[in-house]
Amino acid sequence: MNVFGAILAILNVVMILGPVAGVAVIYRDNLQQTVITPQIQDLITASGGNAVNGGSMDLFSGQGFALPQFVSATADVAARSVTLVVNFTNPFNYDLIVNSISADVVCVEHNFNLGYAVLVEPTNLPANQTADFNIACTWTQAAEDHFLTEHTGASSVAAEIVGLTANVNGITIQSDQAYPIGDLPISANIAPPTFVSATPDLAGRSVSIVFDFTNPFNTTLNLDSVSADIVCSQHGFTLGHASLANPVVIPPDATSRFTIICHWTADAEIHFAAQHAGATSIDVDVTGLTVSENGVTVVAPSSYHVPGVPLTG
Amino acid sequence: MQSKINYFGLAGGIATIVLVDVSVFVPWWVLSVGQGLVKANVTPVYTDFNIVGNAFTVPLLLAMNVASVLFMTAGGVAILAYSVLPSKSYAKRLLGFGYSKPLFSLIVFVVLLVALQQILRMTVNLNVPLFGSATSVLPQSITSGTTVTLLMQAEFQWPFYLAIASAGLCLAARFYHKKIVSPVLTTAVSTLPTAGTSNAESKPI
Repeated sequence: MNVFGAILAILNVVMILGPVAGVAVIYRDNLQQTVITPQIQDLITASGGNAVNGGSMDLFSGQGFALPQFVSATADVAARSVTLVVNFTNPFNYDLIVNSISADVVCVEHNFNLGYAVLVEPTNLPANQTADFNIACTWTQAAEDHFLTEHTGASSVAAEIVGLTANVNGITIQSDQAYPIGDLPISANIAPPTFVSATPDLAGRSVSIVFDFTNPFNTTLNLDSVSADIVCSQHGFTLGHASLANPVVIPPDATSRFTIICHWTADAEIHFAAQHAGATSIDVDVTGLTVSENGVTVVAPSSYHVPGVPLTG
Repeated sequence: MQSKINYFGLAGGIATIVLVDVSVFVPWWVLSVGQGLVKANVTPVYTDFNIVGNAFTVPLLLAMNVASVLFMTAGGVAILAYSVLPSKSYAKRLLGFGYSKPLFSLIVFVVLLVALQQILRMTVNLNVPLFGSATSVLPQSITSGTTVTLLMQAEFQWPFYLAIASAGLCLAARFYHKKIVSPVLTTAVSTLPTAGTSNAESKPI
């Protein structure tokens, strides 16, 4: 019995100490690796820390972790907002989900609060990839006054964000640092399109109207949507709805030409027959001209008069 | 001699063996930081960590896990063997060896969890919940002055409760042992010669 009890007692000791002793023997040259493996060491190194060597670990200063980079900005004058496109390289082997970002936007030159910025929608950043995400900056009336008084004639203003709060994968990060976001385009110099010419297509029962539009921003604009109503100048009758003939790319600070096409509606044909019987041409107004590009929407403040649009061949 | 079985021990032994098996796959305790950014699956027999997609194990913890597997398995087998043969002369030694293993593992597991929680709270002011959710702010010394708030969620999973049940059954087996051996002793004593003979084989066990 004593022998059996002794065997059990020895078994107890062997079961507990055996595996631990085994690991100690395997890592006898560097016992530190029994707790901090090379893999953990790499993780700490990648995040910029040197805690293992006696220093302090720093999660946000490592080379693998870069702050988001400014890509471009577009303005929506009507909504008093600028949409910033920034990209971020996810250095981890893990998909990150940016749930929210919010910050104040400040004029660098005058340290004036221009408004606030928020993430447009939660964005997925795939592992080890760079992805863009959109941040909407909304400026205040005070900011517009600031633009007019302090930045008269300027098409953009240098800005930075402060008080950044971000939520990534449920982790909330708050920073008191200021992050430059480049030059924000502002509304002062956005001019409506200018009328160039109108060409009727009698066979297609339509009219093509050409405009010039100047891109006031220092970033390329993709003109992807234009709409307008075509109205009989004499009677105020809507003859049709016009839309962009082809997408147009407008280089920074350049003027490009775009064409809208309006097909006469059935009611327009009746209107021509009833009100303009025998007329060979008609004066029309282009109203509510709305230009959209890169999320920027510009509504022309007045209508464009187009005289002598031919109705017959 | 009437055949006896310690059913508490039988159930406790089976529960302990099952517990060791399932604990490899289902953790006793899970800690999640953020939306899966950091995850820790912890059991006495298997522990792994996943930090932003990097899964790793710690060799020392692995050794302790292996020790736990051996420890609990041996305990389960011992108490199973005891349960079907509680009247044997070596039964009490088997019982003593086996019944305490699940209880000991459970106590050590809980004590280490609480100790880890307190150490983190005291050293880096990190409030890690044992269950439920809590928010905590990382020390700014490791975040370049940036305030990083972590949402942490922790929960005990069903194997933990199985471990409690297993420990309870094994403990009950220990106490039930007295009841099933007493009648045996009574019977044995009654058959002994009244005087002048050896009673070596009828020592209380």
